[in-house]
Amino acid sequence: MLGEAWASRSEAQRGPRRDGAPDLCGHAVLAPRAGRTFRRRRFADLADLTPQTLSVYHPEVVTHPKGPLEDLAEVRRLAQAGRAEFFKTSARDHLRAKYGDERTGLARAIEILKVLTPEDYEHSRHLPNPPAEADVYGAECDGEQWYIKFFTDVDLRPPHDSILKVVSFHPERFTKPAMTRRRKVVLP
Amino acid sequence: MTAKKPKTALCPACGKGTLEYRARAGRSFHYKGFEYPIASKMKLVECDTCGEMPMTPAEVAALEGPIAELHRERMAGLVDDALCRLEGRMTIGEIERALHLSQGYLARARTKGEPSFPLAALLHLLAEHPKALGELQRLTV
Repeated sequence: MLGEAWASRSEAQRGPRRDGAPDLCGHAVLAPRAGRTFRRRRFADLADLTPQTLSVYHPEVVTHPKGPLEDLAEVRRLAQAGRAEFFKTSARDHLRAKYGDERTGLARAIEILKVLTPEDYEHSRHLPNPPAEADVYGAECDGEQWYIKFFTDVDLRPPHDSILKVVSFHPERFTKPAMTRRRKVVLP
Repeated sequence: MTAKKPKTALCPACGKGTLEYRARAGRSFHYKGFEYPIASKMKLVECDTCGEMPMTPAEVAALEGPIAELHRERMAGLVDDALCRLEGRMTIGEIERALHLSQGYLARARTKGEPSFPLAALLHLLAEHPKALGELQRLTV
């Protein structure tokens, strides 16, 4: 578990507390401190659970600098095989708004997923419900800065193979420092 | 590696509901501003709380393909119906000129083209209120 892994690290390994400094997303960082309340939510065991930062916008979502958790070759293979599912509100609705219909949007999204490189990786996130570690990538394509978040899981459809769950595929909502160094993906 | 075979999973969109692969009646698919019903026998992954439906490209193609054809026929039917009602009042060429459409656009739209809903609705309104034709011609001068 993520919390246990971080709890087992010493203060020196965790690094100094950085109250107010921006995190990987450019959000202000709230240093872990037991008993601190945040948006009327109590994080009694915050020191154990929070590895580095706590996003201001999504208090329960934790960012951590672990490096890519998913193998990009596997991501490419799943995307190529059509074994990727796109969520409606955070992915397909945005792709439809951009490309006119979902078939065109998903075909374009698959093309982008297939050409992602390690340089496009931004950070990983711990999603609380269901507990999952998702990788966040950023790429510029068709005049949009795309925010791409996915993780692999077991498919609910038979034969229950692994599937790439694309939980986010939408234009970036907030301007981030990372956007300036994003790679421009050129598709045929 | 032996994969587990879960029947349900927590929904990452709402974090509360359960995702389940099932078929049921009463679902709809959004296409170009319209909600079209999904066949009750079609199995899809769906959240029982927020209604989120994660889909693979194959599922989207299987759903959207027939719906796109239905939508095209529906819009072409609207255009055809309106043009039939406008016959005798204004020629199709005059309507095309008044609406700044290229020559032959409406003839194609009423048969095999895919007219937009705003165009179909405008023609429908013109057929309902023929007096507006004069106003339309006045605007184009």
